[in-house]
Amino acid sequence: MTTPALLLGHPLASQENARYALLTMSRIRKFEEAVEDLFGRGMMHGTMHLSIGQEASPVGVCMALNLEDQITSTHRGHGHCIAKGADPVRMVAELLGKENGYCGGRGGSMHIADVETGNLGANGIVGGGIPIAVGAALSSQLMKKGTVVISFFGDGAMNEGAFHEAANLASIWKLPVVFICENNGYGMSSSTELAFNLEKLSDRGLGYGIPGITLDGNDVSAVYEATEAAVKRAKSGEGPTLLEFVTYRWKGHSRSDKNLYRTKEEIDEWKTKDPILHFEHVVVERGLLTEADIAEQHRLATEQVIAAVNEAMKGKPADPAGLLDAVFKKVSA
Amino acid sequence: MSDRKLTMSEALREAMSIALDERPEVFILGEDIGIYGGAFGVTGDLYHRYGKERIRDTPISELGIVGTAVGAALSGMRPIVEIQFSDFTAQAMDQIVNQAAKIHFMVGGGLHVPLVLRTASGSGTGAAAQHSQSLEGWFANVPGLKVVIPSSPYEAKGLLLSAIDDPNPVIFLEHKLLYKVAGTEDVPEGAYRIPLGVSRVVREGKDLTVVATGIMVTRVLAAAAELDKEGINITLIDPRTISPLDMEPVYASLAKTGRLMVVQEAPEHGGFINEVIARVVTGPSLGHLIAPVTRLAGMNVPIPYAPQLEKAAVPQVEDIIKQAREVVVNWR
Amino acid sequence: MSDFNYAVIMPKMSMTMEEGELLAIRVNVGDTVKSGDVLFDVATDKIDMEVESPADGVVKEIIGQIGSTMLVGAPVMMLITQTQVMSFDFSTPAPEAEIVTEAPAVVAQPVIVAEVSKESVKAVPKARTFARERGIDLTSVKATGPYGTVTYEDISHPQLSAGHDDRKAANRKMVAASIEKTRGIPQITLTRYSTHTTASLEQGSAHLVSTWARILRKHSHLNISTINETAHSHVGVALIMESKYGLAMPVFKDPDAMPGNELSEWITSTREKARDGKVPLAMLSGATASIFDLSHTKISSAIPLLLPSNTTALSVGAPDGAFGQSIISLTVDLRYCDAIEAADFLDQLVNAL
Repeated sequence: MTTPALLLGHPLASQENARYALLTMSRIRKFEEAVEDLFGRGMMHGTMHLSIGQEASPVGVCMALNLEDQITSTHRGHGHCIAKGADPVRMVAELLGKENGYCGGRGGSMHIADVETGNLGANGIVGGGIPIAVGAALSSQLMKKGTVVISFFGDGAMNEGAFHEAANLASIWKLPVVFICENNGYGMSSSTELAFNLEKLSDRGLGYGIPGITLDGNDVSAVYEATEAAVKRAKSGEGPTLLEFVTYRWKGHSRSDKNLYRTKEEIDEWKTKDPILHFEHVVVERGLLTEADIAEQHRLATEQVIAAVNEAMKGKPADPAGLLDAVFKKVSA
Repeated sequence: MSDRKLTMSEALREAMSIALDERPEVFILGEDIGIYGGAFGVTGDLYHRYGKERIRDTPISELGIVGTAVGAALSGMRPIVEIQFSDFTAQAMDQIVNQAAKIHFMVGGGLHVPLVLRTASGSGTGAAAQHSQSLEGWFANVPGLKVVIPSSPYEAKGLLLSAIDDPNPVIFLEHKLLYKVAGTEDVPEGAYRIPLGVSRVVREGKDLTVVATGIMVTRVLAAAAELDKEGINITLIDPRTISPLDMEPVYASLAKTGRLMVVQEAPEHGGFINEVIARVVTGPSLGHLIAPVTRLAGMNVPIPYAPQLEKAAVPQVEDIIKQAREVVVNWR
Repeated sequence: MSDFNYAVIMPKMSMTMEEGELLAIRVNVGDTVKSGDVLFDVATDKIDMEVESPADGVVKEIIGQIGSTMLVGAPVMMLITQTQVMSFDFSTPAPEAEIVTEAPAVVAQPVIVAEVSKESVKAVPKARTFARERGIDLTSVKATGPYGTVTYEDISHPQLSAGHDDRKAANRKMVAASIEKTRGIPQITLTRYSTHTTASLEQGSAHLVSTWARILRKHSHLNISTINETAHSHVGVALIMESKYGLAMPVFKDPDAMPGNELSEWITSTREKARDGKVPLAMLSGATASIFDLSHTKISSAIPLLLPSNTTALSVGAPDGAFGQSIISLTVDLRYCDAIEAADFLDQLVNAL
C-alpha cells in the first residue's frame, strides 16, 4: 500500500485537509487496535504503549510541518510516526520482528525511526529525545537548513533533568525547536497532581525564558494552530516554545496495566472527549464533511491497516546472523 | 618536518584545527572551551580562530551538551564534545550509553552518530575521587561506543583525526598528566591519521609482553629501561583503542615471550585489562604461556587526595618493575 | 450500517503469558455492551485482569467455560458489533514472527579425556603442550616453579629429576671403590709432551684409542688380567666419559680392528648416550686398559689411575695454546712392566700419533 502524502495546512482549511486529518487520526487508532489485537494473540513480542485517545496531537502537529522538518518521539510514538508519514507496513513488520521492519527487528515498538520523513526516532528513555531534538535544531541553525524540530514528550519527562538542560540550551541559543508536552495525566501510574505542584506544566517554560501555552490536546485544530505559530516563531529565529497539550490515554501504560490508579468513571469521561469524535462534530457542523465522508475515511483507514498487517506478515523473520555487523556504521575508506 | 616536539594539548588542538578546516560540519562544544581555552587549555586559541559558533561555550549542563551533540550528529554535523573531567560523563550517561551508542543499531542502520567525546581522565593531580577516575571500562562495556586512549602527543593527533572521521560515537580519554608533557616523537605539522582498532607495538623484548594504555605506556617504558639493565627485556603493546580491541600483536608477541602482564590505572575489579587476559587464556595464546598472567591495576578504592595515598592507589614505575621482574625470574 | 462478528479472545497480557484462566464471565448472551465494559476476568501467571469490550455491540455467544484454562488467542465469546474491530486471526499456521531455530543434530563425539594422573600435575600451558607433543609424562618431570608448578624450562631443559642425585652418588661411590682397589699396587706415572694434535684430535678420541690398542696388542704381557694373570684374547679400552650421573667408562673392544671413521662414530654416539646416562650393557665390562682423554677440556694433565685388573692407564691433556703440545701421561703396574719399558711404550704412542 502507499502512504498518503503529507498534507500541510489547517485541518479545517478545506475538505481535503479535513479528510486527511480524520483519515490520519483514524489510521493511528486502527493501527494501534490492530497492534493490540496482534499482541493479544501472542503474535507480537515484548510490550507496547498505546496512544489511543491522543490522536489529535500528532496529527495537528505534523500538519504544521514540512517533510524536511524533524521530530523526536517517545515510547508512545506510533501516532507521531504515522502522522509524519511513515509506512505502516514497515511499522507492523518491525513490531512482528521482521527483516523488512523499520529497524530490521532490532528496535521494536520503542525505536522506530524514519529518516526519509524526518523522524529521528522514538525513545525508550523518558526524556531521552529532548536533548537530541535540541541538537538537531542546533544542526539546523548551524547548517542554515531553515527547518524546525519538534520534540514530543509526555508529562513524565518534564521532571527529568534532560528536559531542563535541553530547554535551557535551546533557549539561550534561540534554536528552532518546539517542545510539545503531551500531558495525558499520568506518568505510568503517577498522576500529574502527584508529580507536579503546578496547574499548567507549560509554566515550566518561564524558568528558561520560553513561552509556554497550555491547550486542549484533543482538539486537532487548536493543536495545529498553536504548533503553526510556534513553528513560525522558531523558524524566524526567535527560539523555542513549550506547548502543553492536555489529553488522555484510554489504554493502560502498557499491556500489564490494571488501571488501579484511576477510575472507570474517569476513563469514561475522557472517552466522551474523543479527539476523533470531536473533530467529526466540528466538520459536520461546519458542513465540511458529510456522515458518509466520515464513514468513508474510517473504512479507508481500516482497509489500509488490514492491508499493512497482511503485507507485513509476509516478511522474513529478522536474521540473527547480521547482528554483530550492525553495531557500528562501517568506516568508509 | 624535524624537531616538532609538542605537548598532548598542542597536538590535540592541532588535530581539531585541521578537522575544523577540513570539514564545515565539525564544531566543538563544551564548558569553558571558548575564551577560557578549556579547563586544561586544550582548545586554547581555537575560539579566536574559528569563532563562537564553532567553538561553542555551553552552560554547565553535561547531559544537555552530550544530548545536543547526539542530535546534531544525527542531523549532519560532526560535533566534538569536551567534558572537563571524565567523571562528569556520569551526568550524561543516558545520552552516551542509551542514545549515542545504540541509535545506529536500534533503528536498523538508518541513522548514525558521528560524535567524538573528549574528556580528561586519570589521577595524579590531587583532585581526589570525583575528578580523577579512569572510566574506560564503563564505556568499553557498551556495544556501539569506540574507546580511544592516546599515550603520546603523536598518537593523540593521529587518533583524534581518525575519531573525528569515524561515523560512530567515539569516547576519547586523555590522561591529564600527559597534557603538558612534550612527547619524545616529532609531531608532523599536517594531517595524518592513525586507524582506530589497531594496536601498536611500542617496543620489543624477549622476556615479557606488557599491555598498557595511556599514561601507563609512559610508566611501562620507564620501567622497561630499568629492567633492560637487569637483562629483562619487555615487549610493550599499546592497544590505543580498547574498543574495538586488536589482540593480534599480543598473540604474536606471546608466542615469543610466553609471559603476559597487563597494566592499568583503573581499579582492577572489572577493568578492561581483564578482557585482555580473558582473550589470551580463552584464545590462541594459551598454549604459549610459560607463566601465570599477571596484572597490575589501581586499587579497588576511590582515588584518594593526599599525594602519598594517591600514588599508592595506582601503579607507579617501581611497582611495574617489581612485578615484571618477579614474573620473569620466577617463571622460566 | 453493517454488523461485524468479532471474537473476543483470551488476550496476552504480559510478556510471558501463554495461557490464562477464565475466572468470571460478567455478561450473558443477548446483553448489549458498550466499548470499555468488562466482559470477563482472567488470571494469568502474573496478574488478574479484566477484559473489556473493544466496541459497542451485543453478546452473541459465550464459548469459554468459567474455571477453564485457555491458550492465548482462543475465542472466549462472540460479539456482534457496529464498528469493525481490528482482528487478525492467523491462527494456522503458526506466525512467522517466532524464529524457531532447529538445533542441529548433535553427533556424539568421543571426548578426549585427559589422563587422570596428569590432572593433578601443575604445569604452565606451554609445558603441557611440550609434554603432549613429545609424549613426556608430566608426573616424571621435576617441578621447580612456584606452587610446585612444572615450568617450561623444567621440561624443555630438564635439570635433573628427583632420583638423579642418588644415582650420581652411587656412581661416585662405585668409581671410588674400584680405584681404591688398585691403591696398593706398585705403579709409576710417566709424562711427556706430544706434538700430535689437531688432526688426530678432530676424530674425537678414535685415533688415540685405536693407536693405543694396537700397541697393547703387540705387547701382550701388558694386555693381561692381573687377577688370574692370563692374557686377554681381546683388547678392551675403557674410555672415560662424562655422564649425567658423573663418570662413565664404556669399553671399546678391539677398536684397532675397525676403520677409523666407524670407530669415531661409535665413540661419538656412545658419548651422547653416556651424557644421557644410558651406556649399553655390553660396554660396561671387558676393559683391559683405560684412557682419560682430556684433549677437549681446559685441563692440561691428569695422573691416570689404574682400574682394577688393568696394567695400564693413559691420560691426554688439552693442547697448550702457544705451542700446540699436549701432555700425555701413562701409569703402569710395576709388577708387569718396568719404568724404562713404560717410557718406551709412551714414546711409541707419541710417535704413532
